[in-house]
Amino acid sequence: MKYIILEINEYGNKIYGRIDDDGIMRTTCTENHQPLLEWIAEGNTPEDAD
Amino acid sequence: MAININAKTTGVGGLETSADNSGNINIQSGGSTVMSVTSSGVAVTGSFSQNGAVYSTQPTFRNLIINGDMRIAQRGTSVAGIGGNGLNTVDRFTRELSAGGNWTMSQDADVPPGQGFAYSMKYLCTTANASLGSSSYFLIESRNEGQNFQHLKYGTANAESVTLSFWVKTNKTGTYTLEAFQADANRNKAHTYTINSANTWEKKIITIGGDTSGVINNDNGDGYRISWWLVAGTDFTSGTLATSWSNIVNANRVSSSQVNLADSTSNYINITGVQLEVGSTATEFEHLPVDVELARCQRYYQKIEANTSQYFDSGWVYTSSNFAMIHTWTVPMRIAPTSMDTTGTASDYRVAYAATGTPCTSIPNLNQTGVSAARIHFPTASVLTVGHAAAGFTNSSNAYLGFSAEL
Repeated sequence: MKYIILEINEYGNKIYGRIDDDGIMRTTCTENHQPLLEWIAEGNTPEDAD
Repeated sequence: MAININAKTTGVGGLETSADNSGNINIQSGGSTVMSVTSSGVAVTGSFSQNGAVYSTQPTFRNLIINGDMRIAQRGTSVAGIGGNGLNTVDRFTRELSAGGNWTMSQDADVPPGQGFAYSMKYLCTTANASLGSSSYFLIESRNEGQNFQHLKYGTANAESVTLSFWVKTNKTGTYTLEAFQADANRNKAHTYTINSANTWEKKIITIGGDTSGVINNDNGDGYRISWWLVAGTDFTSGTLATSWSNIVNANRVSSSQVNLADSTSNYINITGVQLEVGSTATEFEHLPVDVELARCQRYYQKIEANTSQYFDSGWVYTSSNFAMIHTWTVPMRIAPTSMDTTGTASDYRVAYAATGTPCTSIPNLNQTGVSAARIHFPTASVLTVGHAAAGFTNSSNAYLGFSAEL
């Protein structure tokens, strides 16, 4: 599982997508989503979307 | 003692009285008191009726647990391969799980007979872990907003006891740990209960004393949890069980006799009829209307579904390749949702514009949220006209958008 940055909206907020282990993105989230924050706190870094 | 006025049910019958100077009056039938009048008020034992209509003597909304009968399952009815934290199937019951086996969670039709329940929550072990690591854990949690628990008066000399009742069925007999936890104070209190018979529904009742040193903030945050421990490594069992409210120490959270429910595949547990109420007595489960229960769950998770050729909501074309849909929540949510679930298939989602439509090139994304509404972007090919009205819809039979504001 990993997160990618999908876009930055006009208010400057980053929109993230979560890529599950099967490679499929099912969930998108805001930058204050707790599981995202925990994932980053574990030392991970979201990638830019292609 | 009291003045007793008793309608006899034996012998020749009639009315008998006895008296003292207590100032209390008991109305009795066959020697059993059905109504007492004292200086503090009137107490009725049994049912209370008016013009033939029987009224409950218990207050409504006394159950502090939402969806205790496992009736609402917005996320679906079964999920397999669960090996980590999260919330699936039945609403409002989350999970902490690490190195505690893999599980299938379902909303199950197996219920205690004759209790009026239609569903239970079930966890079925599909990959066992018979040799737990010290940090292994699996617990089911009910997390509740602190502002709904202010009448427990924690942190005062008047801190109230609460009583938890629930039905449980599992193939594994033995000792299990039930934990109450205050997230704001980081304090816990542990209880144990015993599963006496395998594969048999049993009702458990546990009274949890009030915490005169506790803290439950008056806010919409995580204020009070009830946790059912199913798996615990020695990090959680090696100390002395915290049977009194204490600042949390991991080693004191779980009984050293705790069953390892993950020790074999096909192990399972079903739970339903969860009720937490003020006082030291467990009353009958409070069955709420389904619309009321659903609305209460939607404060934490809302799912909008659309079947083939049906619409989610409307909005405007933001760019030539992006439609912005505004969706107003069915009920105000606890906080602005921070995530949105989809099927994961972009083509399940389409944008209707003018007299035609176009599929999404990527799944819709949660672009901006608030406690009243959200803006969701539907990415498409560059075929839209900026500023025009449009709508989100689907040609799939199972497309949905799910918004989470869970604790």
